Amino acid sequence: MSAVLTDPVARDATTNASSLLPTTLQPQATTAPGAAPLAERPYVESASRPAPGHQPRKGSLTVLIPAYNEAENIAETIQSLHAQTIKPDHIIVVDDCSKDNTGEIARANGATVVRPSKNRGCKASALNYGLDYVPDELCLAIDADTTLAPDAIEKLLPAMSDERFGAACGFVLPRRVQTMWERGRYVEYLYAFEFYKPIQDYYGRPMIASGCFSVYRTADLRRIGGWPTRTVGEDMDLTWTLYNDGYQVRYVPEAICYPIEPPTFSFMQKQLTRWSSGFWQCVKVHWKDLLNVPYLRMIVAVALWDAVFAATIYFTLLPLLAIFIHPLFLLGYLMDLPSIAGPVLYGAYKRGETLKALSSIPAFYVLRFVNFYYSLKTFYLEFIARRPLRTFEKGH
Amino acid sequence: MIFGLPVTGLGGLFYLILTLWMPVREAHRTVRGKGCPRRWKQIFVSCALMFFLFATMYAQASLISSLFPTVSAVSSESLGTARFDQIAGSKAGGLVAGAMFVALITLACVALAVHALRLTMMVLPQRRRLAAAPRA
Repeated sequence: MSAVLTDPVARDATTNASSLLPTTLQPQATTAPGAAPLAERPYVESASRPAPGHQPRKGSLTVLIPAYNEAENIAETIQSLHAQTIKPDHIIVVDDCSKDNTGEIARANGATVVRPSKNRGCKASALNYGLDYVPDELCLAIDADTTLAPDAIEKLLPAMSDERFGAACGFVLPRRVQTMWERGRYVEYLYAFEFYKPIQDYYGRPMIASGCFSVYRTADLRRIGGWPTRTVGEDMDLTWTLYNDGYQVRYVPEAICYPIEPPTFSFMQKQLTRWSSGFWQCVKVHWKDLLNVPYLRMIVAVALWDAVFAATIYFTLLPLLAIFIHPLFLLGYLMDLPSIAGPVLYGAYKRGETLKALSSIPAFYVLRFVNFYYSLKTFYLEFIARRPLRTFEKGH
Repeated sequence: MIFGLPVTGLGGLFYLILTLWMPVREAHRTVRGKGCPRRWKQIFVSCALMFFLFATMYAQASLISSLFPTVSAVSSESLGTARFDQIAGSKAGGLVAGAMFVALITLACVALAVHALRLTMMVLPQRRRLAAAPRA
């Protein structure tokens, strides 16, 4: 079945909160038999923008999914939205001129599909294209390869009832934990989301509302110009922009999402390059404003220090000590094992995944080594060589 | 997107200090009538994890000292952790205390640098405005 969003104002008057899915939208065949496949069409737009002056219903929610060549994953993502205990009012997929049938699959799964006339070039720009079509008060952005736990939206939304919060994000766990890279990422996420992020949240300053699963107020997004396209780390850039605007950000650990993480080194290095470059670019853009945001300025300063100096020490000091003083100094690479194991095993135990976490810890060390390298490399490219990353291939 | 190198370098120490500060901050909030049971639960978990980290770090240092006495001896001589051995009462404690001391000093320097930069950015625009203002 395909669904087309017609006039959101008229729709709001007839839709109640208990029947919120696109099945309530006016069904309309958009793919006539024999018509050209969606991917080949120059311009397809199957939704209308909210009318000027449109007042969204309080608490109404649109899920916005930017997608490029996500035919493999988009159906599962949309189905996980249909399975939510609190269902979104609209699901809008921005099919960013995919070369596969992402749009058709999304439409077949009951989502509204919008498609720009040409590829928007980056995720932020695709999200901004979709933002024009969002008719609801809240806008939840998720990645096309990210599924949600059935109660994720139910857990996440209450955070937005407080007007002080400009965004809320949830717990991120890799959906597949098989390859070394996925295992490394699994441990990294367990550590970061079990230990660092709750502390950042306590002080009201999570460093990033993760782009793969975060909710915002649509009016705020429009007022600040949507997702920033000036950096390749649009989620961090947006989070820091919200802080500069006086908002706080909430982290809700009970709201869980499951993205697909890079399974191979090739994908992983693309993702790490983009993330590290995104951080440096955000620091360049926001550093003056960040100085006035308590706690966050220190969180960022420490992250910056570690990315440069800890990485340098990791690559130089320990090997030098091992060569010139004693080889046993190489044990220094494993000195933080207990620090990693504590939060990771605690988080894994709660999920009944202790063995999986234990067996994944060695992979974390490999990933960290690679992470160090890309931190230093992107620092060099962004600040010294002045060759900032502008275009990037999606690393999943 | 996440960024950073979890557990590495100053980050670990910085978050330990933030964790230590949480109960103090929350107690102050509670006294002012703004306490919240959810936050106390969160503080309890963070503090428990932190004490677990300390305990395991110490245990690991003890293990290394006993299994590889050379490391302790070398670190005492080459890296100058001998004075910390005396303070902490053991070679394992000396290793941990020495590492913590260096990290604390570094963290303090980073914090000072951030605040110095902040003050500079506050003062500079004022000076520029004053310099640009027309003289009477």
